[in-house]
Amino acid sequence: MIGDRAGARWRLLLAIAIAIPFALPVVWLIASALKPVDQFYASPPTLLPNPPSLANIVGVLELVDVPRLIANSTLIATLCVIASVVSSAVVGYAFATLPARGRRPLFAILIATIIIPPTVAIVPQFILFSRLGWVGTWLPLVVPAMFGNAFYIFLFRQWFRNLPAHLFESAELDGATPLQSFRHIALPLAGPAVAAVGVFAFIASWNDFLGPLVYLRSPDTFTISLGMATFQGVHVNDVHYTLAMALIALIPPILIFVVAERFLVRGVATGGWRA
Amino acid sequence: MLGFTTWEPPLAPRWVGLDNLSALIGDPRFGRAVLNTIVYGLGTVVPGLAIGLGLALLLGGVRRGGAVLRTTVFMPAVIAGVATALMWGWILNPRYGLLDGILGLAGIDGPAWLRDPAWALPSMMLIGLWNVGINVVVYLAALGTVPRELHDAAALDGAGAVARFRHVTWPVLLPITFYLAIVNAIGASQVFTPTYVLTGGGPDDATLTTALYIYQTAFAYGELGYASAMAIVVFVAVLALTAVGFRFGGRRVPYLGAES
Repeated sequence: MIGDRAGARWRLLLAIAIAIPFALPVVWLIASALKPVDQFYASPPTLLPNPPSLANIVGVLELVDVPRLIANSTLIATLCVIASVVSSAVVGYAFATLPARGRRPLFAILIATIIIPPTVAIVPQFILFSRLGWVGTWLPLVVPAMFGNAFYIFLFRQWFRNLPAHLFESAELDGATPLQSFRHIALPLAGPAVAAVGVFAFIASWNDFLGPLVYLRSPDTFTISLGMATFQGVHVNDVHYTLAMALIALIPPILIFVVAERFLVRGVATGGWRA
Repeated sequence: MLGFTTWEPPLAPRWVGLDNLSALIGDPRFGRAVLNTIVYGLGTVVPGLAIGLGLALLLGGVRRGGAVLRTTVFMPAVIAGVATALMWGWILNPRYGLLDGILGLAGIDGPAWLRDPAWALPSMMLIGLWNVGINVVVYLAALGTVPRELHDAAALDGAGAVARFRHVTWPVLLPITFYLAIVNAIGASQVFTPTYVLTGGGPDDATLTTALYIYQTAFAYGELGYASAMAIVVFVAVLALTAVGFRFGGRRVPYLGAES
């Protein structure tokens, strides 16, 4: 027993030692963003600001309309969340319950789309959206979410399959259409799956860079990621402002993460996550 | 289809058959991009699986504080790629950065990382490996499914920790490992944001990846047909990789197999 306890302590120490490389970069980002300019550009560098200063954050807010960028990202991500949850839940429910012929090959094709890499799809997609005249708008970033996503559909299907089948059968006996039993029975029971897909869709949209880079044209439509990349390209020598912006951009996803971590982790554990 | 045309908007696409593909074979930058992407893939996927498994085994045994550690390791996965890239750009700064600062304390004169053609691609791998938390979470979940009775029975039969891992734990983890290997390899073949933001593919094309080259060809040089041909080549490679992965272990992967 004593040996066990000592072993556990060593494992904890080792685990903490390994956690440091994951935490330190974020600590460095936060600390750097809060440094006065002379400490920011100190060589050799210091780790902590002394004293912490908001000058970089105030300064970047004067140069760039950061709240606008954050609002754009939040709005696009929210639209993606709604579109993804609705479309993927409906399709997942259909795959889980409807006795349609050809369900298996259809599902296999759906899962196969997971391996189509986004950089492969971007050129044909761009051509499609430019023919539709959508380049320069948010539509190419939001509309694809309305068609579901293989991983989210998979998650919903697993969830609905684990619900007792007699729930839907009795609803059907009472004359409910599949859509009615989806809306009134399945969806109210799918809280955790909705939460997991919602968090995934939010973070995926918030973190997307290639999409906004290819499709957005005017700076007042930019997302925070595109805004940051553009700013650092123009203000190469103002890293203190760039990092202040990165610090602001960190806050919303981390908040969501803290609130919804358990859904996220469970979702990752049940199907992996294509980051 | 576009891969077989030459298309530089606003001109209309014109059918060129296999000309694009033969041009690709003779394009040294494409060769460099493919090579860089393969090196990046090998340098992130294999260590990523090993680190992911190692951390999961460690964290699985930690009772107090385990949740906090898991959160710490997983957190990088939710941070936007651009923010991650900018943060690492400053860590790797040769003059003011954290990494060379720490190496300096140990008396080591660190390299210029992203500005050094020899170190730029390894720097990108380091940034990629920072996202290993997803693997840790998947492995942790898989470890939770290993039946405890099997461990106890094996221990009673006198199996040591290594033997128990090999004969009890590993058979459960093997299909998960194949699954992660496929998903991670596809992810590695897509690496774009850090190279676009930090180096633009430089110095001297040292960090030019296929994803970045496709982007530049299509949207900076405006050659949509040639970019499509590259995309086809990358897609076929990913497809082949996935097929190989399935052949070796995919049938036992519950997530990608047919009906579970």
